[in-house]
Amino acid sequence: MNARIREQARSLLSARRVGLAGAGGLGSNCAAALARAGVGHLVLADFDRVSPDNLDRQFFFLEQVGRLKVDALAENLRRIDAGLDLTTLPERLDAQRAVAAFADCDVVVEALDDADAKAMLIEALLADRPGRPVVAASGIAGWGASGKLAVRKSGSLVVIGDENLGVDGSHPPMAPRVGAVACLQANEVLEILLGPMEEAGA
Amino acid sequence: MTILLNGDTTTLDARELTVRGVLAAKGWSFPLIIVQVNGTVIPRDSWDTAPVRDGDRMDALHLVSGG
Repeated sequence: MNARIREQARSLLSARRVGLAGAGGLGSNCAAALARAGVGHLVLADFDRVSPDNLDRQFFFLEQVGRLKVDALAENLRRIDAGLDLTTLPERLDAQRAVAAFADCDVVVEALDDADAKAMLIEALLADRPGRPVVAASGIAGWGASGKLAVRKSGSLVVIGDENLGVDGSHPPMAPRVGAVACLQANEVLEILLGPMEEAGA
Repeated sequence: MTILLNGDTTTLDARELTVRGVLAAKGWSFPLIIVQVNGTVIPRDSWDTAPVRDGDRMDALHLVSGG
């Protein structure tokens, strides 16, 4: 790869701030991808603690069980990039708090679990700042059906997933599909921040 | 009227509908939907009044749990 383009991209990303609502299967893996890509500032919000069941798909490790997810994630992200600027919010965000918590963010990633909470967050963020991009996920459960994972754009909202399979007894969340959507969310964030990529041969 | 609904040109037998009217006409009863009309979010409590007119673009995005 052209080293100059790589450095230009990393330089641009280092000045950007991305908010992540939720640090579970989507949020932890999306944050790791963004940190590796060079995004310089991340705001991490999650009230939950790491449980043994989370290790089947979330970016945490055995010795971190019991710790606040935002603290454990911050530690893991700093092992990727010691210079990352991280803001950790160990709380359950209501609409008003979410708007305030992510006020300085260029993009917000919706990485919550519950569908009602997703709807609340998305509506609140879009109503507060129309035009500020929100990258959400819907339909990440189970395995296979890779081709059903779609990226749908509407105004400044992006929704990634199959918009069909919610997590339930027949459709557990599993590492590959959850991780795929988390990385697609990070990929959309990069396109928003860097602009569309020039295609080969163009 | 003819609108662009989820990216598809869609003709509905009415001159104007509310957001809820469009959802009903399509038979969409998913419990959690985010609706945008011409790129602006329409909160759930405005679905009974927010109009959708000929030429508008409406997107309905379906949310299910999992994160």
